[in-house]
Amino acid sequence: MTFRDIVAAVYTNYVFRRFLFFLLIIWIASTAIFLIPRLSGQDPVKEKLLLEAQRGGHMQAGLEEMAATYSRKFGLDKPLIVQYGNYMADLLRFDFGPSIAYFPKSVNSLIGDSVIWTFGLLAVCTFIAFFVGTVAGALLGWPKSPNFLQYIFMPILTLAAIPYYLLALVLIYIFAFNLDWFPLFGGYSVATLPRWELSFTIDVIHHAILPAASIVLASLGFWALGMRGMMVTNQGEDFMIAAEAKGLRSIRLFFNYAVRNAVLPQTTALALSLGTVFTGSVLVEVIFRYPGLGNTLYQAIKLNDFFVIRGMIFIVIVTLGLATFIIDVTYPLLDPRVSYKRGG
Amino acid sequence: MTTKQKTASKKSPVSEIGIDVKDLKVHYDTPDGVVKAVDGVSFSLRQGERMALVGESGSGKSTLAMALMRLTRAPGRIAGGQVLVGDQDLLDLDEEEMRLQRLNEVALVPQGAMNSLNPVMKIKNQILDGLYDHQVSRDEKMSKEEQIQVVERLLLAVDLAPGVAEMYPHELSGGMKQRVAIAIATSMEPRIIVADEPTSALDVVVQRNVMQTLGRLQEGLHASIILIGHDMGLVAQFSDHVGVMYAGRLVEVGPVKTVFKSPKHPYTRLLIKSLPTLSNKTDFIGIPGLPATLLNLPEGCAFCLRIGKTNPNLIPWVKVEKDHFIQDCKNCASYGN
Repeated sequence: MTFRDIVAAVYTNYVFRRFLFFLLIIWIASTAIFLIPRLSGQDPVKEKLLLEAQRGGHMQAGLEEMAATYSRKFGLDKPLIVQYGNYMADLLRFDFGPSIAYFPKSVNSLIGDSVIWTFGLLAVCTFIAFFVGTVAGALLGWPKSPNFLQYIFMPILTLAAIPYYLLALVLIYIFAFNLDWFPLFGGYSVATLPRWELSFTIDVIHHAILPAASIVLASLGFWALGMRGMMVTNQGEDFMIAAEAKGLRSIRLFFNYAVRNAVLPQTTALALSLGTVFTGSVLVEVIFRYPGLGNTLYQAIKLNDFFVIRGMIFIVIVTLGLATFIIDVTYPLLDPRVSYKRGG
Repeated sequence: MTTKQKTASKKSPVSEIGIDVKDLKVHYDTPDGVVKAVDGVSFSLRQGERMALVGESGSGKSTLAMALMRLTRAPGRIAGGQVLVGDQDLLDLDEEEMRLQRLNEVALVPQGAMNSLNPVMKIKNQILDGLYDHQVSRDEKMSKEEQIQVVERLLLAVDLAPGVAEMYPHELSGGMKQRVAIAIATSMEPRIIVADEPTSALDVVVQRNVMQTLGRLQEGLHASIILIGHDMGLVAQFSDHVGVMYAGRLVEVGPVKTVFKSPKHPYTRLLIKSLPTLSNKTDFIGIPGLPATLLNLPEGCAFCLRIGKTNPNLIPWVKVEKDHFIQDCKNCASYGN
């Protein structure tokens, strides 16, 4: 095997090509993040200094020199291409610089503190909603399902029409404010410190139930409706009629024929919604003052904390790209019509 | 019933009745009224014989085919009649009994070769799952070697390479898919094969080959075949008997040669006249008017309505000669003669 053969073999490898594509997406997106603010033609340092000067009430004489000094310090006086090189080098080291609002805390540590909360809450909720919703939709879209299922699931489907933040407010009002079953806000009790202990874990779960309920209830309908629609569409397919004419057992028709085909678009939607998991429920986190990424992003936008916002956007891009990459790589296992082979 | 017993019972005299359909009715309940898609169809077919059902689109052919398999779906329902296979009325069976009859006694070669296989399952599994679900007990479970042998035998019987077993439907051509459908339909040696426009999506050369394969297997199994189609040429070549459907009713049934040579019902006559031939290169003659709407169709002769006549009386089902029956309406009998 020559070197060229190896290159060819690697290139024709489906997974490798998908990975290259993943890197390409991240590169293009991060370049866009770099370029878009610079297209405005404004000098961020001068803007900030002017703002501070206005707040102070008098204009200092050396403003121009001051701006130049800061620009030099931030490396903004260098040619665009050099700035771009520095930016990319920082990204490769996952270094997003310091937070402006919480200086000298770094963006990394701010994001690191909150990422676990969001991931724990949202990833779990997304999977629960996906699983329950898909099962409910499959049963609702199956003509041989018992009738009472309609009465159980139909009210849940109507919840899909209610925005999740509204649902969150209603849940807080009923279960936290009136009934006092759950805490009003936070990821854990104010008086405690995070540590790996059973009592703390219970406290965290106790705090997570209401935000989780609002996310799951609101998105359950989305999954159920999508699945039901696909199940109903599949009923009209020739292969379903042919399968029934084969005298197959109902259980096999349901799982191997109807659900197996209806679940394909669902998995694509799951990958996409997992990709937005970190920023998908900003409002729920804000309403519950949950210490997650959504809340951090909200605070950063409020305080004009540009570096934090940029770090968050980068994380969103990476997770979305990663989710797409994972679904690209696993999809041929689910659908043989999508092939690992080149050109397939 | 094991395979052995079944094969023995099939070595019965040729004259044994394979399927006997009596006064079969399929109705669709719509908000505007009842659509009688199949309205009192009766015919019988001897074991080992081939019958074709022809008619325009909307004449109820496919609805009839589905009803024979008891696969009529809401809002349609089988409103009456009998479908006798052996001495068993399929319409009397409960759901589970009917399920066991499908593939085992009555099998379907579906319409539309392109889409009748599950896109995400290997061919071998689509052949085997029908067999699994008809096994009476777990003891009958096939070993891996047996499975491979069964699939290979069935594929070879329809002129497909054994390698097809490991492929997915999208890797096959239309003709190959239809062959797989035939392999599945014959996998349990059914007594009756219902073929619903089995070649409608294929080009003529492939059509011919597929029909030859189907015919060969049917003869080997000594099964009766009911072929639904609107290709009169194909029908004339393939079948022994032909039934002509119009507005959900059978208007003429008879041996293919007799019906083509001397059709007795005016609709059959026009249908045959509308065929292009090599010797007759004059203009096409279509059938005047439009097919009757089946919604709230009155009793009496449906074809009279098409040519601007009426006959509200019940039309008698008359035997013209051996095996040859027509709906004998005095008002339109001589039309187009």
